[in-house]
Amino acid sequence: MGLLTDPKQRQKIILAITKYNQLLCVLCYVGGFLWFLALAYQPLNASTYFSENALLPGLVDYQFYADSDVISYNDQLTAEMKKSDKKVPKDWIFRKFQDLGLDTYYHNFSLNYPFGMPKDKSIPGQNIYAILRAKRAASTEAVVMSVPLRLPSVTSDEQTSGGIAVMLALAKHFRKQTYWAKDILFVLTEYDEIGMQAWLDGYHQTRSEYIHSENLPATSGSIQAAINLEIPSEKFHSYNLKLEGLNGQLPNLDLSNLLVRICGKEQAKVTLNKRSDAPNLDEFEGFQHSLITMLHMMWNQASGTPTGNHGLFHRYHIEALTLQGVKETRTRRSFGVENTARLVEGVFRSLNNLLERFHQSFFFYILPSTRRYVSIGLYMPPFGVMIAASLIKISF
Amino acid sequence: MSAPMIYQKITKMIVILLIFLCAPWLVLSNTSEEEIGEFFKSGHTNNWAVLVDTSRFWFNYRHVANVLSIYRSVKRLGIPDSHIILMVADDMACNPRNPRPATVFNNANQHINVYGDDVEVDYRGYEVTVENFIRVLTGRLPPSTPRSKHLLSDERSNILVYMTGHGGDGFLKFQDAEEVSNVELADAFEQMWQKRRYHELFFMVDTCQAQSMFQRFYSPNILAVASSHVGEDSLSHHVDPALGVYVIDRYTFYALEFLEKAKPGSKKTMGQFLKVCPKYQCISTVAVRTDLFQRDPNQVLLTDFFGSVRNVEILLNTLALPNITLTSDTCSKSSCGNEEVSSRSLKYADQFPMPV
Repeated sequence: MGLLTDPKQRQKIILAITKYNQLLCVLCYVGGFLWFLALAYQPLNASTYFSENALLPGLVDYQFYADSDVISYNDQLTAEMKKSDKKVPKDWIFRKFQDLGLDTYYHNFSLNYPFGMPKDKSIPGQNIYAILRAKRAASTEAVVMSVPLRLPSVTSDEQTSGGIAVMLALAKHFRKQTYWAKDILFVLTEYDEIGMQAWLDGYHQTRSEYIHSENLPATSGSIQAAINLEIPSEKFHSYNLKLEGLNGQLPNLDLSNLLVRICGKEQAKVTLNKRSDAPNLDEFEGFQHSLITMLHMMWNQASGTPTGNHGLFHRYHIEALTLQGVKETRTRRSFGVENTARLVEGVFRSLNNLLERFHQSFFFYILPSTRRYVSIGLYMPPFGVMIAASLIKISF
Repeated sequence: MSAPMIYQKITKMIVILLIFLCAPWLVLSNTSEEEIGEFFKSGHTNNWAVLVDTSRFWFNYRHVANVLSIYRSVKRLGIPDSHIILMVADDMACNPRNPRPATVFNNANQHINVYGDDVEVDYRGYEVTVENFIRVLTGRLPPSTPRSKHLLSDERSNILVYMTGHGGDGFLKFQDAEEVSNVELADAFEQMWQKRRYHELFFMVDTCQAQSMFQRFYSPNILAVASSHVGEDSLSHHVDPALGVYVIDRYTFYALEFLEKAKPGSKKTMGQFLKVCPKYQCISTVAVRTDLFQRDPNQVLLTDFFGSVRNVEILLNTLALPNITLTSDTCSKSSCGNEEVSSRSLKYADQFPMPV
């Protein structure tokens, strides 16, 4: 008779588990926990790779040479923002997009903030967005480039006006090209995530509880991917990738790999949670560093709030992440808006090659470093062992 | 015996001896006629080509470039469009992602636009299916099909079949949702043999694990070459950074290098062609199947399959053909005398003068 069908054997097992109940529970819990932490160790996790063949990341040479354009837009915008401390120069931005010849629109929305005073008054807001139609394609698909509009009075780490300059210069460059298979939507949102949610609501015609947004005057096809830019106008030293979204949802791993690859091509330092990869991943120091990066990511996911505007796209099955420019104190090679423009051009050329939504690579993963990942198949078993501890407790 | 009789016998013996000595010379004077006989030994009278690209999507640009390059070579060596069935599964030239619209290049230099103005695609886009492919080979097409879509070969046709795309062990992927297996292909070729639809067939396949596609052939007179063995992947050659795609596969690249040096009157042999792309160039090992082929590939001309060469040799000497129709009334020695042989050197004219 088998181990579990034989009543005598079964009794023996039940007796054993009941006798050592406490010990087993503690062992399972601690063991599972340690196993989980050990996953950040390099030989135990896997190296990232591209699952989507269509992406052809970094294969095409960059064609953006108009560095002077992006620098001049940056200077002009900085001057505009100096004029008023309390207002974002929306009209100036709107006019600039219109001058490029794109379909530019204002999008109005209002917020009924439930916790603050005044309770019954709604706070108005306005987004700006522009559509670049693909010349030879049927506008059935789109990719989004978005920047959150922040007041000129924010600290220099929070500034995003460099991103607006990048957007304008790239819009000017992209408009002249014939190789776009998807429309490009340039979105500037007020009040960060609130404006972004209002825009998404208007685009997909969904409703949010506290945000009332009008329907968008013009839309495009289904959005395949979105890149959110938080680039300051001054020089910075590294690119920080922010992946965590609402309720801990993550974009497809291929999108993260794409950004890492394109940043590598530009020889830019890329960080996750403002921590770069440790150089000695198979030693203890490297393991510690990777472990803390991994835990930072889990902490962000556990909070449930998105780390950037990109987090709101995930609910609509749109892969999105945020590229943030971070200044560091140690002097390193610095990057500016012109490097970012090249980088984003490379990303968009690659996204243009997509035929379907991202579906090949992982949706559930945690990253100990930019080039290693822990998939759900690897982190579920230790979690299961930890849950087994409580199962043993309640059943025996 | 009397002296005159002995004299007669001696002269007879001398004449017989002389005849025996001169006989070889008489035989040798017929060599030019024998040479003419030589050229009809290959046995075929017309050439066909069936060129198939089975993959679609922008990242499979190189497969379209492969098949169009072979199409150009085959056209240059003499096979006319009416004898070529070109099946291309996707339109790379008009793909919105193509930075150079209306062109397909097979080289990063972008020198030769293999798409050009005069390409004639017989089966395009979604018409490239396994069913259509097998129907073309076996001839079972509905009578309403236009003539350009039929493979109108007969028992004296040499056919070149070139296939490229994504393949695996025992199959070749068509479009994205179906595949043709090696068993099915072997049976299609056997049907062709039974219906006497080919004289000799050269099967060329450039995919991953390509050898598996010809392992099951059992019909006679098939010569096959594949770009990789079972278990090996065929690799692409290089990227064009201006387009952002791989533009050609390794085996086809080196095969084209070989074909580009051939002219319509070339004396290159199939044996030389089968040795193209050794392992250090192709990285995968080229597989060849010659057991079903009755002639020695080293004796077979390249143009027997890749070109459409009419068996013409320009002779400098005149041949005295027996005068069987003309009577002495119509032609006297003065009016039907031998024409003077022109002494200018004669050469074979290019059938399709292509820009270099």
